Amino acid sequence: MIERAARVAFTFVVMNYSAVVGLIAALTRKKVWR
Amino acid sequence: MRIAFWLSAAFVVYVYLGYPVVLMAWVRLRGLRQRSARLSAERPQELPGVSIVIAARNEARHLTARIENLLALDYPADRRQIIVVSDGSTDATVEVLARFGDAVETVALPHGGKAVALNAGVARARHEVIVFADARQTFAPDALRALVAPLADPGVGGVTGELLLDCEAGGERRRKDRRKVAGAAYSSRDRRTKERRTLQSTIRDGVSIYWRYEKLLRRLESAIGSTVGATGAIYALRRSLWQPLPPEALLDDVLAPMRAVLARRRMVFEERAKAFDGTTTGSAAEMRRKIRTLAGNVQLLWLEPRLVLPLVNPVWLQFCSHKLARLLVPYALLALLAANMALAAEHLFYAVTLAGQCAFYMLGGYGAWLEWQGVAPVSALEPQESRT
Repeated sequence: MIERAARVAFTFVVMNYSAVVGLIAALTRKKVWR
Repeated sequence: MRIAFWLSAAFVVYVYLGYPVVLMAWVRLRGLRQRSARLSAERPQELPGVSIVIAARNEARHLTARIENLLALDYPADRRQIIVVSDGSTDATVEVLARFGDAVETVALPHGGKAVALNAGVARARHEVIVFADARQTFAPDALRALVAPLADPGVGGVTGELLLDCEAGGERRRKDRRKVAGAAYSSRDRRTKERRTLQSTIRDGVSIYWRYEKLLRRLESAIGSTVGATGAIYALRRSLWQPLPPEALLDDVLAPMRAVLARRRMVFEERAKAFDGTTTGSAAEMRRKIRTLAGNVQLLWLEPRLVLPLVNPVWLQFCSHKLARLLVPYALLALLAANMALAAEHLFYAVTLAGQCAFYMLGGYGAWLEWQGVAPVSALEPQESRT
């Protein structure tokens, strides 16, 4: 149960971190994979 | 500070919980059901012609299975065209495709990106319905029939199918089977391997839950009008609604469907049209995929600025809630944490919420540790796409 919650929490953090990096990548027109 | 706390909390709660609840209430209040007429599977003469377009870059190892899967689909061969565009592949992609002779039309281009490859593929299409797919996934035998069925309704401009991840259905079963077999002869080496497999599932489980949540949203959005985008692994679009993609476009599977929606056609979700895929093998690959998706969401704003105009975009609320608001959540989370820290000494309630936030992030840290324990080397992780 704890491990499952940890997985969900980790995925949530990864998603939000990706949103920040994605925004920076788009605004700086940095090439993001493909 | 209290205003910052409550506004941030309300925003985050709306994006992840409030929005689905709004959609559910909307569906219930209006009593809407999928309105699309179905084409009868018994009358193949009514099936539209479909051109299946795949953009492939160095996909030689997947293409044999992929093409065999497409050729085996339950769909009349004379109404089906398969086009594979090699986007500057340096492996044996073109040679593998050549083995299929006339069954597959191959377009070999210098590397220009997926959008350029799709443009070239659609330019070769001769049928009225274009079906987009990727090299790695496979379709269920009846997926194509199910996918084109809603297009019998002239108001429907496109259809997105359902992508099932390995870890959602069969994957769980297979993992259980593996444990059963391993249990019979359980050596220390087996235990080590099993532990590694279990740990590798950290990000998979998270992705699986997230993907199921995304499909729930898509189902609800479809019921009240249109989905916001499609699944790149399996979606169909009327050729008349296709506009060539800008070469730099990152999310063809959002841009092309949203252009159909802006043309006042619906984009619907057909869950009977199934494609299958394995889950990303680790957090590095998943993060790379998410970064690309979220950068693509930002890019949409300048590639198709009409999307932010409420009178022009028929699914404006859905687009803002589902796509744009997600981009702002991390900043709301930071504001929520900062405001909560400032307020914690004021009242027990804020101390409790701060403890709750800290516990959540510690849980995330534990999830990261689990992932780190089982993760494969980054170099071995393969970039994946299609789930936007």
